[in-house]
Amino acid sequence: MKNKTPVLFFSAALVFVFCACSRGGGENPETGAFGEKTGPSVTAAETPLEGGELRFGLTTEPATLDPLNSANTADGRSILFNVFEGLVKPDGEGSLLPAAAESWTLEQEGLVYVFTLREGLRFHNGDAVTQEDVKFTLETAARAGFAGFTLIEKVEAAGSRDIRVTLRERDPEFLPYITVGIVPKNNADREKNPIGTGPFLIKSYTAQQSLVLAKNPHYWRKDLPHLDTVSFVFVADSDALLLDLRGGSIDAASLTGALVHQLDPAKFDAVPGFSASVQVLALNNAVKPLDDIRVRKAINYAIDVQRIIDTAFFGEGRPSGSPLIPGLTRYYESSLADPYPFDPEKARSLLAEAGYGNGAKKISLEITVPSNYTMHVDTAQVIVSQLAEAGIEAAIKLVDWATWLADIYHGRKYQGTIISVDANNVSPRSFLARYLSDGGSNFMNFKSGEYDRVYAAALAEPSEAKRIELYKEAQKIISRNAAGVYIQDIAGFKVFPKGRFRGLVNYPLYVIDLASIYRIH
Amino acid sequence: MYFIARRLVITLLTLFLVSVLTFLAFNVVRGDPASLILGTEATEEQLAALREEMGLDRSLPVRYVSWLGNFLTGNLGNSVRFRGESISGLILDRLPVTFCLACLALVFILLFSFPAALISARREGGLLDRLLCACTSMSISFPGFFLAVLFIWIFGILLNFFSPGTYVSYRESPARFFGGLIFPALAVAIPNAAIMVKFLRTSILQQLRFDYVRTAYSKGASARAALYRHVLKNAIIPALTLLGMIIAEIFSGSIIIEQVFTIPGIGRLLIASIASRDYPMIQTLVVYITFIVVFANTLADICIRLIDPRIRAG
Repeated sequence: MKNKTPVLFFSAALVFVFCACSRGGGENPETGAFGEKTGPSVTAAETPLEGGELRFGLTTEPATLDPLNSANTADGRSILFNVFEGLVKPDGEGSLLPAAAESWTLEQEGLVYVFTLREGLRFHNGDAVTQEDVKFTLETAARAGFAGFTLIEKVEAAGSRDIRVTLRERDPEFLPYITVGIVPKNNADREKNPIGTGPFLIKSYTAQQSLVLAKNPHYWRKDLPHLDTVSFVFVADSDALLLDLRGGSIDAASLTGALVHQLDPAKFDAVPGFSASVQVLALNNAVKPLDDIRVRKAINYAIDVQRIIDTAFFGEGRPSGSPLIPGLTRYYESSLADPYPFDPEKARSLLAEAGYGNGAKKISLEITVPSNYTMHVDTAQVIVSQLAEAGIEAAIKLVDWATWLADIYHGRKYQGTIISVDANNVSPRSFLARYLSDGGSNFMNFKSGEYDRVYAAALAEPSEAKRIELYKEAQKIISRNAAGVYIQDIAGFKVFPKGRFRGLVNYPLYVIDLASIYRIH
Repeated sequence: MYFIARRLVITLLTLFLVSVLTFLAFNVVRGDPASLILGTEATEEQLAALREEMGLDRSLPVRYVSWLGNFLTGNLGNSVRFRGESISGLILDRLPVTFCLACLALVFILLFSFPAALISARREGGLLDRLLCACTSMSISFPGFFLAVLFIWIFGILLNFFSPGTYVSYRESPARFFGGLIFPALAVAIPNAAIMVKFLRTSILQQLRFDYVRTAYSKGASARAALYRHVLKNAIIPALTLLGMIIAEIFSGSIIIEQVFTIPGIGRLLIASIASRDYPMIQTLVVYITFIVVFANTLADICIRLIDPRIRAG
């Protein structure tokens, strides 16, 4: 009783503070500007400015700054996209444009690719890019086991600027692989002293603090980049990202729909885009009871994808239904958008057919989720409640990323798991190769002789139209076998302070292109 | 002398045991550094080759002995997560940050707790005492990280005293570096200072009831003189043990506060190392933290002995 008065006083003060907090952070307009599907457009009053700095917040750090080190994080690759360029480079449509090579031709019916090195091309340090540098890059990538590079028989310099790449066998889709960044041959330590030919050069890297990029004065496109400096600032988690955005110590960040809705639309521009990866409830096709196709189909019927997007993602997201992202429009099989329409009754009858019902015979499923991905944890919670309606008892098991990689991805010891699968390049193979029966990254243990045949036929098919048909057929086989539950390409927003930056281009790849971004007045 | 020698042996033994336990613990924890480094694209052959390169294919005792040998000869090796960076370099880069934060927090703790405890004890039951008691009770129940988030909100976002997430290196500008540490240091200091106030206040009040205080009064000492000359010296002894524990905690890296304020100190390094199963780095950091804990407690013990001759005799 002695301390009653002061305690009361302080509680009152506390309540006030809480009110202040929730007022600032709670503005949550469901139909605010962020909900619209179009980004901010350039109006006549906005004059583009050259130069300036952009501070971009990130929650993960690149594992390596060496483009020839195949082990990088998705965020790492996304950053290095601006520092290194290959012979060719993808654009926002997923087409491949000349980069370090100014042109290329095919010889011997596609067995030999001849790239002509861009005239006057220079590295960040001003040294000229030579044929030897390109040869070194391609050979090192082949030794490091880069996807597609095992196909290379030999690389030779020819003439004064040509590089001849001879393949072991014809591959009409070899180009997407050749986007690996060109590096100088004589660089003794690529990790500590990264040198490339991209629009930005690496000025400094301080572990757990920042990675600073500066405009490359030797870049072959004189009109790019617009910004002088881009600083990537590494923060602890997505809450810190929001705080730092509000406080102004960073300008921009990539955020999911749920986080974007916590920001004030009057203060921030949110440019909508997609994560360019497929969120999937992966089912381990090799373990009981999931080795039974009826059970996998039942799970597909029991899950309402649109409701997941509505409940956990503020309605932002593109249902996939296929292992491919819908953004790869040329290859995506659009009839698969909703292959298993939500139908809990059908799910129940399929389960009954497979011998599962109520009581002791009730089916149970353990879904392992990497706890560092809030969006997957949220999805798992919605899925568990949906599965319960169809009589499936599902439980969530949270693991950290290290455990997930070791046990689930490489060890394949799991029943179900939720993850987003992304691609290294704009080829559909990047998404499809893992489903081959002997595929090294086939963590879902999918096995189908029919699939293996169709995929092999697609590789050998010279006609593009027929090849696309085969890729679509491959997607249908995966869907028919209900390898997993293909949920969506998660919406991702790039957030900037209101009216400050423009020019962002979205890619069907997990990259951020900084070269096209500019400040406005 | 015998005392110090004995403590030294205990310190070394503790360090050895903790390093063995850490080694064992991370053998039980799931997750493989090789698959973390190589990521989702890795083939089985690449994984096996990297494990061999990192020495992970060897048996546990062999790995421990090799690590211990390297450690004792001062060769800490390279970090697994931050490839190409030496462990000693990374830690030496972080130490000044954590030390400055800890020192600043320590200054705040001492500056606040001693005057507050003395005022509170002298006016036991008074309005000021009651107010201070309420304050300390509340501060103790606030976890440091909650205070940190609250500070970021109120002083960073609403009042714009500082910009959340901005860190200026001590090499760049010492003034701005220390400026940036004020609020994190306060977040570390407040709960600890509150415990200290409560502890000191109780201790002073206990001492005030002893006979020697009455003797001091009867010899004509003023209340002030009795408090400062006689009581405080005795009251400080139990508080020193607490201070030792607090110092150990804050100098080993205020893990959560560093994380919330994005301060690149020892604490953030430890979190990143654990998440990436950076075994050599974790091992070194754990030894460092153990050393700080043992060292701070030993220091407190020595101070107590210097102040209190009775303990020295015993």
